[in-house]
Amino acid sequence: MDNLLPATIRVLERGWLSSNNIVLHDDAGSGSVIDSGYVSHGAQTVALVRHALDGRRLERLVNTHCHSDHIGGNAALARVFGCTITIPAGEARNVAEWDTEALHLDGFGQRCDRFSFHSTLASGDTLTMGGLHWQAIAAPGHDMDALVLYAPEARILISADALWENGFGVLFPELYGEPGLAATRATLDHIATLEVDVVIPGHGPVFGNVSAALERAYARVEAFERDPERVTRNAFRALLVFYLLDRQAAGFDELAGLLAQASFFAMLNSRSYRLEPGALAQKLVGELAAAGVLRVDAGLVRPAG
Amino acid sequence: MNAVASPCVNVCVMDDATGLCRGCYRTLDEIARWSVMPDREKRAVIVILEQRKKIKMGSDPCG
Repeated sequence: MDNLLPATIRVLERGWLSSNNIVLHDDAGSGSVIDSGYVSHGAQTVALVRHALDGRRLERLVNTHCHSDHIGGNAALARVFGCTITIPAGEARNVAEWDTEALHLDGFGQRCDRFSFHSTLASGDTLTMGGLHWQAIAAPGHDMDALVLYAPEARILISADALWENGFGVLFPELYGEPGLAATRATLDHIATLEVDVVIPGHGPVFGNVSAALERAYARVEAFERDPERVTRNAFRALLVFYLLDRQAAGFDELAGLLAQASFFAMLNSRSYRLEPGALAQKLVGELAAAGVLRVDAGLVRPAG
Repeated sequence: MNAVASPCVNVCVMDDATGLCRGCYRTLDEIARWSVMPDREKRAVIVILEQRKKIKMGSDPCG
């Protein structure tokens, strides 16, 4: 695929444990970055961001939302580069107080280094980055305080986890009794009204066929609307796989412990499968192994591939 | 979608001795430029990664 983006925007495509990092050249001497990956990848994130800055200072780091895979490198980047940090306004209290439950850390078996932020961004605000004017737009669904960033002059959308080439992020708010699914549909409706030629998602490749991606996303929303249990099953699988990408390997006892003790897993189990944690671990690992996402050797569960 | 899938396996640690990622065997530059590489270059990199992996496996006394 030819480069769809101007030279002032450098997308560092990462994986699933770390979000993509978007480096923007603001002028000859300074740059900004959007989202910082997972804490355990911090050193590689710093090296990649330095490479993409091409001699510039990192002045500013902006987060689209405060999930561990998007804010994990914040502390390291701030320490190394001295950049300021800007977070969505709705997350200010959680980050200021470092509420590890609200930040989906402790209760999800996830980790993140604490950081301080310097400013917040709200829907309707504008930013100049990479020589373009960006509008911050509320994008609730996967996260009720998430923002996407839209540059109308260049028709570029930084979509975070609201829209990927194939799908969108887990609908956690729905599982907390908030209208995450309805919000997801409304966010897709809003994105559909924007004139967008290129999407830079939070995970996966940059893509240009926006209408095809929206079609797939709407199909996913419809599938969840028809069978709300799928939101729960999707959350279990995604979080278990994320845990294993972080740990790289775990025994069944460890996974059973996670399912029993990490509050989000325990809550979901009590409302859905209602299995003893060991049996639930076996069931989920079995399904994910059959789907080719996990593998088991010598009693250790690992990500496949 | 016929695009070449990213070889990232979510290890994401650069090995100082080899200059390669311990997970996917790419150099920092290969990782950084992945999103702008044309597909034919990505396919060429994937082939090279297989060779780097074999060299690492071959020289690793633990197999």
